[in-house]
Amino acid sequence: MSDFDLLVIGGGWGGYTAAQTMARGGGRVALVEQDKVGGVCLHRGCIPTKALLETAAIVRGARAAPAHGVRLSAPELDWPAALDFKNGIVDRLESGMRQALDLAKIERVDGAARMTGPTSVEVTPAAGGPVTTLRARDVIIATGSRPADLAFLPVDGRRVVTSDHAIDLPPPARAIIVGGGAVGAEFASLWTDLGSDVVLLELLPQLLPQEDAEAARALARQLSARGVDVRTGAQIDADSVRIDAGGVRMEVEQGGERHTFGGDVALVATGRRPRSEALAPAGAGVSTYGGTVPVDEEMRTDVEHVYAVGDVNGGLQLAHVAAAQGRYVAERLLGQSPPPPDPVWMPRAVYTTPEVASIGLTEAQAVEAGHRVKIGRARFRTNARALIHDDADGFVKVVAEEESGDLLGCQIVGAAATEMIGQAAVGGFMDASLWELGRVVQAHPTVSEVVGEAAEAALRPRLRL
Amino acid sequence: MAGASGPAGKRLAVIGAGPGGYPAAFHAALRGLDVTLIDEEENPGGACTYRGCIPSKALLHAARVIAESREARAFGLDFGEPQIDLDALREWKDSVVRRLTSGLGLLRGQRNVRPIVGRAYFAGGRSLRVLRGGALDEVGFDHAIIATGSSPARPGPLALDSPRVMDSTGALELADVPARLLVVGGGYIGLEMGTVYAALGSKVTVVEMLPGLLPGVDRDLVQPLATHLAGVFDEVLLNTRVTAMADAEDGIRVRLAAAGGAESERTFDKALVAVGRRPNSGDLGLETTLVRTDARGFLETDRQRRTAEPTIFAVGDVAGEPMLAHKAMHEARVAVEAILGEPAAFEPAAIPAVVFTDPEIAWCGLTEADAPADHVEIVRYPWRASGRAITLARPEGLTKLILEKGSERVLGVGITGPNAGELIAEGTLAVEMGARASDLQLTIHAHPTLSETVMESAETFFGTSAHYIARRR
Repeated sequence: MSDFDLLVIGGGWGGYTAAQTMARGGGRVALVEQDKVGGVCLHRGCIPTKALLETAAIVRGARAAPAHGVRLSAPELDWPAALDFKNGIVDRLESGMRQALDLAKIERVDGAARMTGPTSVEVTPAAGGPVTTLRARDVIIATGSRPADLAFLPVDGRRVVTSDHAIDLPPPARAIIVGGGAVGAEFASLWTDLGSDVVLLELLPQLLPQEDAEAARALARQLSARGVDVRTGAQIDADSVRIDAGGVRMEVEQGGERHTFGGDVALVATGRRPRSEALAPAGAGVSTYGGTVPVDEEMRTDVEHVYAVGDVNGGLQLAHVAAAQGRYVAERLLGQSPPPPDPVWMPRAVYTTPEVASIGLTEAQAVEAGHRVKIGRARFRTNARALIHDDADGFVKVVAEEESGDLLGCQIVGAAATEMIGQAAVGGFMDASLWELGRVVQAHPTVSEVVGEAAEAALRPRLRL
Repeated sequence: MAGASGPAGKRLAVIGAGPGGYPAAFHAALRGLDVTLIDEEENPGGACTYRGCIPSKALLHAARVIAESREARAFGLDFGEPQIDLDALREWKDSVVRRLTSGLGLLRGQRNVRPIVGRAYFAGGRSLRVLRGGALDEVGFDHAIIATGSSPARPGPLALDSPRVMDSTGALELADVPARLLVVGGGYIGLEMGTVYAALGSKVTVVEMLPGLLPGVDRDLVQPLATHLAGVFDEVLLNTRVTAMADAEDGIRVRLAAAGGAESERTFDKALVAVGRRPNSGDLGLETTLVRTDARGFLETDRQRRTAEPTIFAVGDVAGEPMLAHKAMHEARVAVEAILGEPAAFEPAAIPAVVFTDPEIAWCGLTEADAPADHVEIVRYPWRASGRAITLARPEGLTKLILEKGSERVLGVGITGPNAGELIAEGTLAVEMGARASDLQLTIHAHPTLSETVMESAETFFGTSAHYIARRR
């Protein structure tokens, strides 16, 4: 006899959404969380970084203000107040989530879970007390991920930090950021706007290695223009790393040359590793590779009744992907038959200045997948709204099937990119053709007009916009 | 004789180079027509670029920067009090206009569109007389597109000719910042320009004849803006008309009549009249053609934007409501395709409209007010449930869907909040593509974004939102 219909382990975006969906459908649900509900996204990821980036956006806007006839005195950054703003947001959202869980009559269990069988879990309460055992008909593993570390750059939380620490750190005078993915690039953008000297090191030939090369170049160009020392194809000499009271020094090889960089702080942002070690799914017969719990396209592990959603299953590490997977599994368990989330048609958003957002396939990925593609590009520099917002360097690129004109992907660089990608998401889901995307009436003057222009450009290569 | 040189059947004359005229000319030239574009300005752009959407958005951007510097303390930043340099602001606004219009001038050349700077009058359904300088040229055409736009209306007592009374064009010139500004009209132009002058330091009084701001827009979308504006404007007087205006020594004396009958007299340093726009359909020599105008002065057209004179088309503000630049651009293309003999027709299911105040309001398709109540279901998603809105410290926004009962098809979308003007694009696409609520629910949106609120509205409709529960109507 099970205590619950569903046991969810991990209260991040994936676990939370699964639990809510199941409870709404009438299921009895328990949610085990060893820390705070909301997971990495709410406490150490998307939300706190976005709050800090808002502070940076205001500073940047103020620098441009004199050209617009508004003179502002040099801003004084009150870091404790910025942290209060950020923490206030996190607290507000967290208490909202806790209330929503209680409202849905989801049993919240505070503590660390360990699998003792496919559908039974031992929970050691965080506050101490007796170990309890929970049983359920089905189990969802949603234990997330943690920042990857580098053997030659041991994290101490002071000189060498991960994003977990960086969200509370006052902007360092000199920072070395190791890793030019979304996290590294966002901190580079944040810190340079708040006055830090930033070196951004990426081993691969471009920033945001998963994204379109043109988009990555545009980001690198704009970060450089704001003072970030962007180094791609940069290999750190592990033996050269020195960490002492004065900070961190390292030698870096780039294009056959050696450079020495020093910083008060080094941020390690080389990706995130799925984590399930403490849960020990292997004890219940579930296969794991490192911390990863692999799943099939229906989020099933190799043990019946055990599912894994979100970062821990090794897919795209994004909050909305986790949420979509969590909802999907819960709906299946409720007897519904939703389509599995399409792993390709997932929006990706990077909140740097400029923002970089994309969905579907990049040009390179589409070609590699065997598509004959046509490309449409339209730039922000003739767009009125972009000019007014000092954002003339952005662009929209659409990737479409040559024959049918069906949309395969879309990349956007510029101020509102992370919002504008929603249009491409709807277009993709509705199987919009380039013609349809180009013909929709866009409000004037908005930057969204450029999406239509890019679709037009793909249809009429001769048209110069 | 200009314009008469092109091959027979291919000569197109476009009158007016605003957002209806220049896209028509450019598109037609691209499709191989021989195009003459006639306008009184040297470069294309029209009222929108020279005296409307563009300069107003530039000033609104500056207003936003000023407001943001004041709100910044919440984000841990202190800038002191902003100093406004009116000359620099004016110059920046003008530079944006110059850059866009000169860019359009360049494109005009690249597309081989022949410009004539002058004023055009029809002489029948095949030729125009164009007055430029003192000279009168004859321009023959096989087809003509009228895109002469609209002008600010100054009805009744508001017609007073005084340096203290401005229309939107005068207000955009930003001659000074009056200490006390009266804005007549609570539509989008009055609210946008009122916002600008309030940010620059004017005490602004808005007078609106109807019981609410932004007549025609759903009340729930207007509510967050009205609340915000209550703190921006000195006063907002609803149900009130201006019955008289007169110059006085110390300003402009205005008589206000409230709906109840109470009258009062007030003095302002300046007044902005923003009570609507009138189509520019007079003085075009249309009496020499079969073109017909309706009672309000709009040119009558069919779905292809053809007038009763088969060679003459009309697009944009002069061809009817809604008077929006992007509606003109869309019509322009339809008219050109119709001239080319293609089966084009103007029937977009959704034309977005945006009010660029703070917060912005945007909507498309059917509004709740226009929808027959027993045919639709309305679902609302308040932004206080949006993580992104919270990180922006802007929880007052709202996203709503107007769904057809039964089919659950999305008939309309309304959004209030920062960036609503960009967010509406996906709503427009959804309406155009015939999306159902379930499609929006299943379209995965990036987190944390405001665009999630569109998806979450659909989830709220089905009771599946993880962040918000609403009672279904």
